Amino acid sequence: MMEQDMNVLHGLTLCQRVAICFTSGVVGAGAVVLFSYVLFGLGISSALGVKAPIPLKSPDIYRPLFWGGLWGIPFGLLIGAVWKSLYLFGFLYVLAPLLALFLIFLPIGGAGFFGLRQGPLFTLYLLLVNLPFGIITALVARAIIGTHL
Amino acid sequence: MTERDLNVMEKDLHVMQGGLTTTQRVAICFAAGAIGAAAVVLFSHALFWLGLSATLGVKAPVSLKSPDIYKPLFWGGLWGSLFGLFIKAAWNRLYLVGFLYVLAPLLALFLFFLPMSGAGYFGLHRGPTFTVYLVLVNLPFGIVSALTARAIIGKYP
Repeated sequence: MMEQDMNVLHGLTLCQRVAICFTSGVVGAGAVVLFSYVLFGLGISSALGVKAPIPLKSPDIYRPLFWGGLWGIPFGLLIGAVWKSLYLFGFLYVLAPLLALFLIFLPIGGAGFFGLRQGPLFTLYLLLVNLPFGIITALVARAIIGTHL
Repeated sequence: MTERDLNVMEKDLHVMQGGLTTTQRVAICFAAGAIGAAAVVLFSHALFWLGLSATLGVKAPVSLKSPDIYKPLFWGGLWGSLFGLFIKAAWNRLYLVGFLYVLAPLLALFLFFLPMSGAGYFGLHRGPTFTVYLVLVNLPFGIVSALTARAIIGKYP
């Protein structure tokens, strides 16, 4: 209750920031999905050995969007501390899900650390396609939160 | 004065009043809706273990497997966003409105999604007990979304 009273004076509570950044993360992930189509359309995906963009079909499409939201949660926990350099932090924040992908999810999925069993170009593609995530999440969070955190 | 200046002024005003902007409420209610949908998923498992699902002719709860699980959670978020648009107007009767808000996704299911998938209006091609099951299993959505939104938003919407 006291925290919410403080909100009256100082802006958003931590819970509110986390909830807003969850939603921002979903939008950030939406940007990654769209960017995969841009890369595909430009022929960059095929140059890097990737034959298809992220599927838009249900239910596959919901997984990256929801995980984007989940990654938005730790972003929301940190946003107060990094508010002054939000866009730089946001841009670099893509490293968090990427590291989890490279060191946990890809090895579990059989693609090896950094996805190197599918070749270094695949690693490069993953790096490239995920680039919009952090910065779009930060931009959306900033647009929703406004000038006062 | 530009539109952007006006938006900044609106946000400043809300900060002074201690409330949230519409966009903030919508974003928060997206998250609250996802949690409301998670409650529906859990409730479907509770109904399954209690044997109520089988009584109503439903043989399995909502799948917890990936990627199936993400669909109801995401749609819960979308319905939550809509809830966020009028949560301030409903603030004084939030829990009542929240409880009744389940009717919005249910009506979309009954009148749009089920007929499109071949189950007929209200899912009646699969029998009336299936319709009852859908009403029952979705019951927690609105109220859990409202409770979560209230917990996140606090006193000032």
